[in-house]
Amino acid sequence: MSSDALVLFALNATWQIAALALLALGLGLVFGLLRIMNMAHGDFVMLGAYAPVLTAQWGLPPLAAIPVCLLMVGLTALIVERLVIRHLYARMFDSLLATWALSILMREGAELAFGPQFRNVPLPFEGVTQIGTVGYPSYRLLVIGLVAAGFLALWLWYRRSLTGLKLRAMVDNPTLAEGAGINTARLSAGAFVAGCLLAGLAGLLLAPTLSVYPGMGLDALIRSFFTLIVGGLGTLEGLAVGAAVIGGLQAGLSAYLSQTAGYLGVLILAILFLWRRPDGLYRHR
Amino acid sequence: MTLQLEAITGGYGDTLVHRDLSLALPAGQITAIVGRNGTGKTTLARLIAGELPLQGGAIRLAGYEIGGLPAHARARRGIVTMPQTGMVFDTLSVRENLHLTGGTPDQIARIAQTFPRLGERMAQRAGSMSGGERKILGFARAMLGNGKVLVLDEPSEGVQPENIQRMQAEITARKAAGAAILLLEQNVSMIVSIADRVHALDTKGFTFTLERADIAREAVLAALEI
Repeated sequence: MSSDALVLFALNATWQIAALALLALGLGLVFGLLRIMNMAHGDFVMLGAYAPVLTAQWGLPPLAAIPVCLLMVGLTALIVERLVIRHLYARMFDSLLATWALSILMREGAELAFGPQFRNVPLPFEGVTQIGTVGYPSYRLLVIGLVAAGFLALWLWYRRSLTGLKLRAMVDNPTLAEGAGINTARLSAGAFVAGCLLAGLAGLLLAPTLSVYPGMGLDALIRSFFTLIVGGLGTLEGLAVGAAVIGGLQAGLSAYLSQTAGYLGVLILAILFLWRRPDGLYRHR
Repeated sequence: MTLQLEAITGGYGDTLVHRDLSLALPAGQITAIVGRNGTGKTTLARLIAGELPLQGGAIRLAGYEIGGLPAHARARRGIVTMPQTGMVFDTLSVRENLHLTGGTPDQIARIAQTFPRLGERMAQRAGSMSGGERKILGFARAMLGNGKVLVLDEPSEGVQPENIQRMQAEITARKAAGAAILLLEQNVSMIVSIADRVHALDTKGFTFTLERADIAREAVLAALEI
C-alpha cells in the first residue's frame, strides 16, 4: 500500500469511527443514565436528518437547519417523555416495547409528513482539504473535529460539573439522590431530551452522507446498538471503544474486500459479542 | 423547626406498617425511638423522608403540611435523612458525597477534621470503604448543609466507640443550634447519653415514653424487651 493510500485509509477509518460514535451517543446516554433502551433512537436521527431537507424547501439558509432540528427533535422528545417515558423509568422491558411502538409511529408519521421518497442532502459547503498529497472532503474533517471536541467536552462536563455530579448520584442511588434534594424526575426528563437532541444532531450532521428517508432510523438504531454492545453499555469510554472497533473493522474490510464484507464482519462481531461477552469490552463499573 | 406527625398511616402498598401514628419532634430536642427489629422504625424514617407515600394523616414542618411533597422537595425544606443502608453514593468520591449535600468547603473541611478517617480518604470512592467508614460518611453528609430536622437511622451501627463519641458531640451541637433530631438506634448507651425523650415502639404503635430524667439503661432495655 502506498503512503497516500495509507493516509486515505486512516482518514476513512477515522471518519467511520467518528460518525459511528456520533450516531450511538444519544442511545448510549439514555441507556447509561436511565436504563432505557430507546428503540426510537434511530427515528430521532431521522427527524434531525430531515431538518436540512425542510430548510431547503422553505428557502432558508443552510445554518437555519440547526435551530429547526433542535426545535423539531426537542419538542417531540419532550412530548414523548411526558406521555410515555416518564411512566416507564425502571421498567426496562416495558420501555423497550413502548419505544419500539413509538419508532413505528414516528416512521409512519414521517412518511405522511415528508413523503416516502429518498432525499439527497447536499453538503453545506463543498471543498477539499489537502493533507500531504491526499485531498479529503473538508466537511468530513469538520465533523471529525466536532465529534472529538464534543466527546471531550461531554466527558469533562460529566466528571466536573455540578449537573454531572447530580446525574452520577442519580445513576448510583436514586433514593439517596432525592434525599439530597435532587429532583430526579426532572433530571431524568432532561437526560432523555438531551439524548434525543444528540440523536437529532447526529442526523443533521450526517445527513449529507446518508440517504434520507422515513425508514432510515432502523439502520441508525442497529449500527448504534452494535457499537454499544461491543463497547459495553453505559459508559462514554466504552462507547468510544465500541465505535473504534466497529468503525475500524468496517473501514478495514470495506477497503480490502468490499462494502458487503464490511457489513458482514460487523454483524458477525456483534453476534460474537452478544454470545461470548454481553458486557462488552468496557464493563459497567 | 418542629416536625409533627399527625395520625400518619403508611407502609408498602397494601401492607400497612403504621396506622394513625402520631409523634412530635420538637425543635432543639433529641427524640429517640427504640423497639425491636420489625417494629417499623426504618419505615417511619422513609415515610418522613417521602420515600414512601403517606396513605393517611399529615406531616407538618413548623405548621406547614409537607406530607404530599416529593422527597426532594422535603429535603430542600430541611428534612435530612440518613438511611440505615445505602447512606452514601458508592461510585462517588468521599468529597463528592459531601459536596452533594450542599456543604460549603468550610463545612466539609471542618467535618473532615472531626472525622480524620474521612479527611484521609477525600479522593477515594465511597464504595471501597469499610461499613463503619461508610456509616461515618453517611452521618457526615446528614450533618452538612442546613437540615432543620435530622432523621438518623442506626448511625452508630458498626462504628468504633471513639467515632460514636464524635457523632454524639455533633448531634448535640445540632440540637443546640435548634434542629429537631430523631434518633432510631439499638445502641442503648448512645440513647442514654444524649436523648431528651425516648418512645418505645412495638408493632401496634407507641407503648410508653421516657422523659430525660427517667432515661436510664435499665428503662431503655426494658423498652427493647417489649
